[in-house]
Amino acid sequence: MRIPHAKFVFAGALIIGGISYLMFSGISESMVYYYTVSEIKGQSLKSISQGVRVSGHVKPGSIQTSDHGNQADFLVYEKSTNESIPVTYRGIIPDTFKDSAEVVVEGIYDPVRGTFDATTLLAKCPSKYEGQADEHPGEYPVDDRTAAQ
Amino acid sequence: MIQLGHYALVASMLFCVYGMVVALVGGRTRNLPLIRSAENSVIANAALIGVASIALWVLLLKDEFLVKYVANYSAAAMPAHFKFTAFWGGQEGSLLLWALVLASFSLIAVLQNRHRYRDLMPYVSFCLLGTMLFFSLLLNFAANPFETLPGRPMDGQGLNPLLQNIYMIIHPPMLFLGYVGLAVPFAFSMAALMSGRTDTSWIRPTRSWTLVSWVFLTLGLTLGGRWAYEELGWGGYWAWDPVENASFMPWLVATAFLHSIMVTEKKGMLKLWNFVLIVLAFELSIFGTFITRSGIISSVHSFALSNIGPFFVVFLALSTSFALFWILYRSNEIRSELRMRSFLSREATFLLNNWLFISICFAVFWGTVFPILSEWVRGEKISVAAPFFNQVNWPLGLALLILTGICPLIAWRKASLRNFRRNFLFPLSVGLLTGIVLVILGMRHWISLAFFSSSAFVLMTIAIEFYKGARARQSIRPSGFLTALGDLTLANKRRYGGFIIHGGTVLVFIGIIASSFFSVDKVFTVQPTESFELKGYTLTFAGLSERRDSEKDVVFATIEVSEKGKPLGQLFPQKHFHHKSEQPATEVALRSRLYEDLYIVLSGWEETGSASFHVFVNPMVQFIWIGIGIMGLGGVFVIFPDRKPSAARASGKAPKEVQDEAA
Repeated sequence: MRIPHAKFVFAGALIIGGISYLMFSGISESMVYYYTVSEIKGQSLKSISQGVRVSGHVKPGSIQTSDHGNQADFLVYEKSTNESIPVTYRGIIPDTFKDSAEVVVEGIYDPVRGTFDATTLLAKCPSKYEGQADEHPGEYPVDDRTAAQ
Repeated sequence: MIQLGHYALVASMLFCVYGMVVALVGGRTRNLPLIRSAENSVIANAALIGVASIALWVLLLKDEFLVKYVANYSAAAMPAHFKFTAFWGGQEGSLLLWALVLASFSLIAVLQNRHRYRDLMPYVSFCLLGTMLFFSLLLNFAANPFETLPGRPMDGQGLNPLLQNIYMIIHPPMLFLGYVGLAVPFAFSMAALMSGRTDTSWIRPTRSWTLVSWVFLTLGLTLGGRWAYEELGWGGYWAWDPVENASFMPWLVATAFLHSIMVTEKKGMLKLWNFVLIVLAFELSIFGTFITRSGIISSVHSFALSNIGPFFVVFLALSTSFALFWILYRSNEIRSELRMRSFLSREATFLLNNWLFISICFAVFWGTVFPILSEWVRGEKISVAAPFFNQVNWPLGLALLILTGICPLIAWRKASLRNFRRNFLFPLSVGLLTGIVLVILGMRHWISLAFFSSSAFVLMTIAIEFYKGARARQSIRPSGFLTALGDLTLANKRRYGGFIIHGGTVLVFIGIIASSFFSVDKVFTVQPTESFELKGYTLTFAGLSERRDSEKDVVFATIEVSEKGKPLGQLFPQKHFHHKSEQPATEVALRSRLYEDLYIVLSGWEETGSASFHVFVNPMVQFIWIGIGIMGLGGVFVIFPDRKPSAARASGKAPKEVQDEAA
């Protein structure tokens, strides 16, 4: 390998340095901690004064919309532990938001009251949902004539 | 049909293995019959995958719900065209589509080049079949679209209503064409390394295939963005979601390659770098498929957690080490012939351009995988949101935009002050002037000012280039200015096609900046006949109505729109309730003008008749779509080889063909 000109090495280092700076400062400013329901319940008071993300599923039957569909109150629960927290969300409710949907909420958790004030609500776009059929194989209305074959 | 599909997939897998072996042996021993046989395996493989795909289409159209895939993604009542597109509605079908596109591209690549690039072809066949084998294995063992259910259901689940629209019909195949297209350049560059023919012969097919896939990736990305904008109802078109990033990364690297390959062609520099870029683009396209398909990164696009992840990891590792081995093995032969001398030279700006593209790609990659890394390394789950990507990428984007103006005009080797003054003084003044005018008009947002001034600068350099070229042509052969302009462009498709693409890029930048920083939105809750105002628009809510058809119930609001007392017509934001699906589908009401989109979402209503709307006024979003249209058109234009202008005019076909394809 030929050694490139020193000034190009310098320029390269400068660019790499600049970009690393941009990236690291960017990550530390915009990163958000991501918890499951039981994890956030186990957090100490101090560590969750900032915004966090919580993922879980919408407890069936818990959705209550108000204010013309601009506010939703619901329970996010974790399937494995069955723990849940009440969430209040204000904003556009995505179409994919419904009972049992997998959701991610972002906002402020109040550890004293155990409630979550969400500013962002992501419900998984079920574009390729395989889950439905796989989870409930019995729900196919099976045609008896062919099934008997 | 089910059996036929199964057998075709198994046979395809066997042909891949056979073809790879004979290609390698034939290439090493220069045994022509063996090489022919390998090429025939590529052809046979295309036929087999074709048969399997037709089988799946027939099963979908015939409502054969015994097949699990058909039961999951189709339903008897669905219109035929959606049954047809349900082919790529799910995982197994998407992978089959990947395989189908790959098989067809391999077929074209082999038929087109087997006489021209004799030395390369056995290895090209080897690499293409190797990639094909990977997908065959997936289809046979991990995600078989012909898997059957224990009993035949009465009806299928149906395709998700969100996917039942025109964008979702075209968007996935476009992206796949782009992704898969990158396998061909990968195969040619590997073939160059494996055969030792690292002169310039591999460059031509590699470059043109990269261009083809670049055009498809560009369109695929855009269609995804338009779908998000018009269907999801959150007022934006790009969210830095992992799945979006996954398709953006190969695009960035392919773009970098299309630039750096020019330096190799013209100056014999950056050879090794080009090989690295092609390998990177290919691996990122596989990685992109992996991210979208494996569900490893949580995304708003939900995909089943499936067992195909490990397959991808193994293939990524194998193909990357294979490629790196050959690059290192030949590293002495693919060194630069010339050294770079000055920063103020075209090659240096090209290199800088490449660094910027790669940096953007790396930043996007980092933001996308950081959550996984953080969880592995520190056990903390973290999510990286859109602000990170915006914050890192805007300075890089601005630098790229400015380079778009400088790079094509600066002199090779070392630019002189004279060269600089002649080419840049006027455009720079126009850029500055634009900035000053915008400040006088009251714009104080300095990021936007920087972008808009730079855009004006770049557009001016392009305009001057066309003007000068046409004038020079007129002085040689007197003709009208427009004729000269047309001839000039047709005679130097690559150069002027490039300028066209750059022009489109600038429009995209303008649109992105304007719609990111100057968009206004507000939620209104109103009674019927009540009026509300946003940014000069007066909106009157006339009332809610209902409509019902065979597939869905529709609730829609009628809104009278007027601006400064002048009525502009009615808009109907609505919600659809498909009978098959539990979830409502929001239909945005959109009134697009070149400078501004009025975008209304019906967010909810009460029994009393009052309703709530989220209204957005998004400036210059149309610039993005128009700009990308121009980019795609320019790309298609560049793909066609240079022709004598008189011949092109005599046949009168060339430009029209281009437009048809782009449309």
